[in-house]
Amino acid sequence: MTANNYSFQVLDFRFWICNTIVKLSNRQIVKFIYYLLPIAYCLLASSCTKTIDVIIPDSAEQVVVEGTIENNAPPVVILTKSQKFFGTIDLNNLGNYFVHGADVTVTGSDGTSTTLVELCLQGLNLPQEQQDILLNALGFSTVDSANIPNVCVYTIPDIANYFLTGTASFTGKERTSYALNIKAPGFSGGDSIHLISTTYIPTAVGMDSISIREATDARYRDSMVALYSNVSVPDTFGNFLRYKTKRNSEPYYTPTTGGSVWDDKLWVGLQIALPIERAQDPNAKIDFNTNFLFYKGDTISVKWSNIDSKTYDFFYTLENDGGDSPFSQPIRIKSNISNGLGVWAGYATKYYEVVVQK
Amino acid sequence: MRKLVFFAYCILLTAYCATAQKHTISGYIKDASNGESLLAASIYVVELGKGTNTNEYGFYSITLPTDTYTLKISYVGLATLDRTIVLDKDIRLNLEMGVAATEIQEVVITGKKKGNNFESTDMGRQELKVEVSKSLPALFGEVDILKTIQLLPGIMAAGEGNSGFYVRGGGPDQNLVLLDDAVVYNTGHLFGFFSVFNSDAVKGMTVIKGGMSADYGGRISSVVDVQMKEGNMKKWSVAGGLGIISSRLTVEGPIKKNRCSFILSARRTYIDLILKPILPKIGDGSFAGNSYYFYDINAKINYRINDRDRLYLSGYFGRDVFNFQAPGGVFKLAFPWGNSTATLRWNHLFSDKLFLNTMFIYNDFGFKANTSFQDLKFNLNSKVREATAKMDFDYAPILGHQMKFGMQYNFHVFTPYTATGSAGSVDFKTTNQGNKYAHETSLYFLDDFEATSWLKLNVGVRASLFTFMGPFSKTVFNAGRAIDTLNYKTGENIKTYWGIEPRLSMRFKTDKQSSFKLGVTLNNQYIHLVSSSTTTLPIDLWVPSTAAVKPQIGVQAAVGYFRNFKDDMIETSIEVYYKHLWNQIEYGESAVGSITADVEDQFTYGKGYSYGAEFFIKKAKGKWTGWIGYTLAWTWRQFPEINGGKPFLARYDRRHDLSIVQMYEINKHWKISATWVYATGQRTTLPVSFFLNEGKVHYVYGERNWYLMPAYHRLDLGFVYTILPKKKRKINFTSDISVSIYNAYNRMNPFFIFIDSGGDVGGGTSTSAGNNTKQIQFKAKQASLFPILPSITWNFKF
Repeated sequence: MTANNYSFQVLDFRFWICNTIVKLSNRQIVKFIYYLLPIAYCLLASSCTKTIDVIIPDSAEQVVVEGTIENNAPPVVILTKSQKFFGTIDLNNLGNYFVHGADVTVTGSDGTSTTLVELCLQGLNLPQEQQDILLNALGFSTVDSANIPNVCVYTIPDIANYFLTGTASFTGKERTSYALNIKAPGFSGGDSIHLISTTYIPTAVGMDSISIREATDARYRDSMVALYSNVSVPDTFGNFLRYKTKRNSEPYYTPTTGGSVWDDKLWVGLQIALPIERAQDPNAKIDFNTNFLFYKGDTISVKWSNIDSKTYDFFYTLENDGGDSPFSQPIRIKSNISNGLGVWAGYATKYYEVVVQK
Repeated sequence: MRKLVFFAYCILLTAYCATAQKHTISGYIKDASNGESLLAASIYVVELGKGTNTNEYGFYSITLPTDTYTLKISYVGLATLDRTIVLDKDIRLNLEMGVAATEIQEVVITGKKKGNNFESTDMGRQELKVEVSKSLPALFGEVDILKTIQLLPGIMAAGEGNSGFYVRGGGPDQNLVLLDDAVVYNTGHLFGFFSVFNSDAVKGMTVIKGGMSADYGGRISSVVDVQMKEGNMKKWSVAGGLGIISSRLTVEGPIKKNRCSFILSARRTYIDLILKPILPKIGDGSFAGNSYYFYDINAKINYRINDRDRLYLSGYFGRDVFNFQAPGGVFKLAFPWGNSTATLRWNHLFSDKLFLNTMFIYNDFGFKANTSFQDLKFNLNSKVREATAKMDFDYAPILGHQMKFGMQYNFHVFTPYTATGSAGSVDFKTTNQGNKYAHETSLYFLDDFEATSWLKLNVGVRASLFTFMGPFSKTVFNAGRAIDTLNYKTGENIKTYWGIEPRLSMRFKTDKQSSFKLGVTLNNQYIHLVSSSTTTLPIDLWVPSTAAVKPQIGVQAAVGYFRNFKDDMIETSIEVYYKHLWNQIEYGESAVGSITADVEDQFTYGKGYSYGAEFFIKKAKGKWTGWIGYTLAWTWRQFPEINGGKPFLARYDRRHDLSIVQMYEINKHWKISATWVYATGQRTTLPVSFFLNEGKVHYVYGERNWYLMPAYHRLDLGFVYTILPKKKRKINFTSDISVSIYNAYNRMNPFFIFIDSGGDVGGGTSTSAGNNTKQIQFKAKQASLFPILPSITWNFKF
């Protein structure tokens, strides 16, 4: 390594610090102060919080776009509605949250175009195994087979063929812009809602290799290892990354503690090694001692994508929106959808797999 | 033109002075018990029915025609002195004032001359003795002068238990907080729960919440001018205290009697040491590696070189240190922050009429976060430093005119977040985040004078000049791509701002006990603190005005009616104000912050305005003292890029704010006190809806600060028992036991509101066994910070 051979490892460290400081600045402080003061400690327990009634002002429902287009993969667009607080989301009736009957078209800067069709899981009559594959591909897990949510997506008509053969009538290409055009029926019989967005699939730079290192913490050395991705960052500013990881047959999850997106402000033009976070179920309790370690014996897949700046902005603001910090000013998540929420994200992805030997 | 007017004014004044044979009587007034200078002691010429008062260094000067005069020198709480003077030459009269032997020592809560409330041109100004803070109940027994000023009308607490404050709708960075003339950038320990001012080292403070006179500048809302004790010139003295979370010790005494003295005061919290064995047993043990403490040291030396010259050297050094270590030692964090200040002052008397105070000041505030994770080390650093040279002249040409003029120069160095570190043997650091340098210069002139028997004016003007200068370089990004690089050489002028700041206040005396006052001021502020959180934290950055960041400008107009009753025993006032603020700064709605970006790229700019009325009634002396302050106020902000451009109420908008402060001295052993505060709830922004992305819930927030939290109210009780020595001994050891009960009726005041969610979407981890319902529940929850908190402190002095 040369002297100016920066390490991407520290980038994740920035988030460690930011997270730690952000956490310091909120309930952690409060909690800490309680522990700091013996008198307060005696009075701790749940007595310091109580549920209050908040009357939420009326706010217009909005269409939420969760759209992706990846190199060599068909576009997939999930349309949902934003929901008024508070109360309960009933996951058995998740179908209520989807926006049905929208006209969705995707047009590439190379002149290609396609109109997407709406497919709902329960309408497909797929065998359980294929349902699982499809749901996993969409980021849903299927632990509870009795209550598979009726997920609806807009995609190309021959999506089944894509999952079986890997080829499809319309797939994303690198270095191409894609315009998304949605006409959604109006809420409660109102005028139809027109949403537009554009995303760009950059060049899939990928990484050089994945290396396996011994865990630093001796307590986990027998059962776990650390994974690093070795990356050559291009030498002009404007490179953005997003990654996800997957263990064995689990779906791809998004890393939450270190964040899933990176920019190149500190690292442009350098060869770097990035510690890969073991992304977990979004609702799992994170063990901060092991969330950067992988179990021996596992097969790990990494989805490594170059993205454009607007997609980066969306996920960067989404992942740092300060939602659980009562002291932070609320962050408005930067959406690239006009007249709606969410993101239309182009991914230039390369997939990697590594088997960690026992 | 302005220069011309000024010269004409001086010539006229000189001509007037020359019309009769005049002589000057001048000198210093000191406290006989310890030799400390007495600020704002009154020197009243009985024959003329006029007078003056001492400046911050206890100096006064009166010029009168040749005659015989009777002077009444008074300072509330000390025995009034009468002196008959045959004024046929210039006279130096240095006086020491002591406690009257025959009178019972009365309790007084302000160190002001008689009738000052309605006589002076001051508006929105309070002088508070540190003894007031010491007799009031305190959170954890930690006496805190900044929490005392929050009990005055127009000054709002930043939050539960917080020493931060907002003045008349101004932001937290708009308060000029001075310790012996050095700016204190961060006034809080422990994220603001305790102020950096150690009450044992403080003599008193002056609070100006509006109508700032021309000798103060650089901030647009208020001044809190804290004076450190000078050190006992007469005898050695030791004072200290043992509290539940911290201890203090102060030593002061003469190095050479009546010529040179010093004071050294220190305090440290020790809760970290007590908790060390307990922490691993709390909860899941994850707090085991945590520790927190703060300490601060105040020191001052003063030296009377001769009757004309006096030197002061004072300093403050304080640090908060937070340490965190994850179990297993994989992750460590050390997070120290704090202020340092150093002030060198030279008082010089050019003549009996002209007093000069020359100052050289250094101050800084910085924070660090040193972390390590496995073999990685990462150090984050940010700092603001300032070097100041200042000259203040006090000139009293004739009785009735008190002129001040001077100049100030500041050199600012701002270090934004800078990161260095190492990964194994590889070192790295952030680039493109260089220091920002700026010069700030100001000149001022003011005259406080009686135009007629009923009209008194304080007319002043301050001129300020600010230059943001090189070296500075910056890469300009657009959508992540570098589109331009700016490079400025050392000393190169990048951006200059200037401003003329007129200050005017007028007093119209209506009768012997009351007056109307009117004040209009314009202030410029060239350096700014922008907070991304709803409270100020040590991680918030100070930034200079640059090409993009324009100076904040504030205009305030106030009118008031002041009336005293019962021979000044009761002071009352009503003030109404309107304040307009230009070039206000906030983070943009989507600004997340990043150490690699120039922080100003994330700012957005707008305006603010606030208005309100303040009602104040104070019983200033007697066994029973105290005050009631009530404020009715509105505070608005409007930013084109926030809240869709619609005006919104600031988070520190508080419609009603009431403080009742009462102290009663039962006998020479017992003192009791009570404070009750009531404030309209704080405003906050809660989410109004949510959406799903990749199986996770994300919030959509409503209009800025739309939610009004429940009202805040709290009663605190204080008891002080003083143990006096039985016999007069060589060393008089006195001590007291001070008991405070914070939040006496255990009100669960809202500290913040948060959204609690349970369940999952598609994640599959929290499906309830037995039934097949999968639900996410959202609840709004209110968290409260301090329940009823008794505390006990033992203070001693000998």
